[in-house]
Amino acid sequence: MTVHINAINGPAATPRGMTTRVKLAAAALASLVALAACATPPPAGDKEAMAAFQDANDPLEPLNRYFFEVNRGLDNLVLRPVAEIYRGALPDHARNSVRSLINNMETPGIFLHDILQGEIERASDSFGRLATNTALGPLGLNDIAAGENPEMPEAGIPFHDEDLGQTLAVWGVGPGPYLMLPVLGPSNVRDALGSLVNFYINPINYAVPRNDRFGFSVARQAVRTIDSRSRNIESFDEIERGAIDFYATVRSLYRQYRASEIANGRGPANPLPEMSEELEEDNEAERVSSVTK
Amino acid sequence: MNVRRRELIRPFGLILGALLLAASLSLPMAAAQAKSRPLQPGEATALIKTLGDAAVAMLSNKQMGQPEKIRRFRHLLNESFALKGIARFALGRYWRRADMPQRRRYLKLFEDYIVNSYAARFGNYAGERFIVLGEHIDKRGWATVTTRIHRPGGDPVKVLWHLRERRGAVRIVDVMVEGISMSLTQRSDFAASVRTAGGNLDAFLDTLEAKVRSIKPAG
Repeated sequence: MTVHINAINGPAATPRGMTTRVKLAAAALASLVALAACATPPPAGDKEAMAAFQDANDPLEPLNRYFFEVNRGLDNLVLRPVAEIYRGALPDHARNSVRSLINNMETPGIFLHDILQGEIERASDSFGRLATNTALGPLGLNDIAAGENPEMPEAGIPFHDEDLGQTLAVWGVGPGPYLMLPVLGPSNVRDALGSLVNFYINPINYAVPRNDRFGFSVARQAVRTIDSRSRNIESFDEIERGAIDFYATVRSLYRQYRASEIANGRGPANPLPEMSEELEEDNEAERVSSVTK
Repeated sequence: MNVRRRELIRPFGLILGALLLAASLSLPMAAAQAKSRPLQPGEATALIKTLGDAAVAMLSNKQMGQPEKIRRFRHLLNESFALKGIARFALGRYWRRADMPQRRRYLKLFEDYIVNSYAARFGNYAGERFIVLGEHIDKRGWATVTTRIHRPGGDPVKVLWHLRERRGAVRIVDVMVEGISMSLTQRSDFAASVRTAGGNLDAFLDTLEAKVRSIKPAG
């Protein structure tokens, strides 16, 4: 690893601290990737195993599993306790205000992505939400626009999220291999690059002085993460408790969640085309095998 | 057919012929049964409503003990869900490789796995309410019922129920919570677990059995 860093960072290193740090990080990442054993593909003859391997689309699985464990450790040590304190210290309406505030700050960016995806109706939803919640919230502190009312479930305009990863997907960019990013969690090549570039696209970042932009963006993301973690403490525990392979379960959850976000809730009427076939294979096959046994 | 008739003439072919005849009679019937009847509008919604009411009645009953709740839940599960179909789907390609004792053991474990996973949450019931938003029937006659579950103090959760008819019974084949398929998630988990066990199904079943035992709620 040191060899890599010296090679990149040695004579060619630029004097500016920022660039050096970025290069260091890139070199460290590159060498980690090089060091990590890649997932071994199954023998080419086994077509089903090969199909399953391609479905998983996780060539960096050993490295990803390593960071998954690191992230679980960090979650136990930091994120979960903070989320519990946050949930315990703030009443529900205060936490809802925190979430509304952050969501409202992200809404100009979401509006932009609605437009980029050609979703005129959703763009108008975002615009209406931004206007209503900024004016009457006030400043986005209450989600007036959503108008949550159990008696009239279709009234109001609920929040929806968009980001560059989703826009790229709508434009036809594939997800690329699955990635478990240290600290940041599950992602894929497209979504990871998307979040990086989105920093420059998100209008709210230009509301603060240039030097504060990065910190502002990180702070928003941190609050968002803590808030959403505080709403999922029990559900996460249940998923973890029930899963045999927690890593594979999270990978599947992330994929499906992103697919559903990209489809804007208009997923295929039947999400499991392959399921019908497997459901058909039933008692006949069982009977036949009991005869041959 | 000609081959079959010629064989029938031979004396030793009589038994074989009888067997084939029985097979030829029963196979078209099985094939006819396998073709699922398209669902009528409202059929799936009615089933989901009945299931929801029964589940809420069971969960909100403070007098009922845990063993009785588990018994009722197991009954509802077998009644309303295509449990075997879901189990087969969850095991995917490994199902086809499994022999009969393995399949039987797996089906039993799968049911216990689902029952134990949910039984532990019975106590968490806090007056959730359940609204049917709509129903859609696709080209194959399968139905999707869209519901929203309201939790006191929590965000509403959108749940989709996929149902189809088979062998005279309308059953749920998948549940999608906020766009995430429970059947598909289970399949990913199991596929990875069997792979970790080196493709050894018995080793996987041992792991599953240990899991079923470890998540079994006390009482």
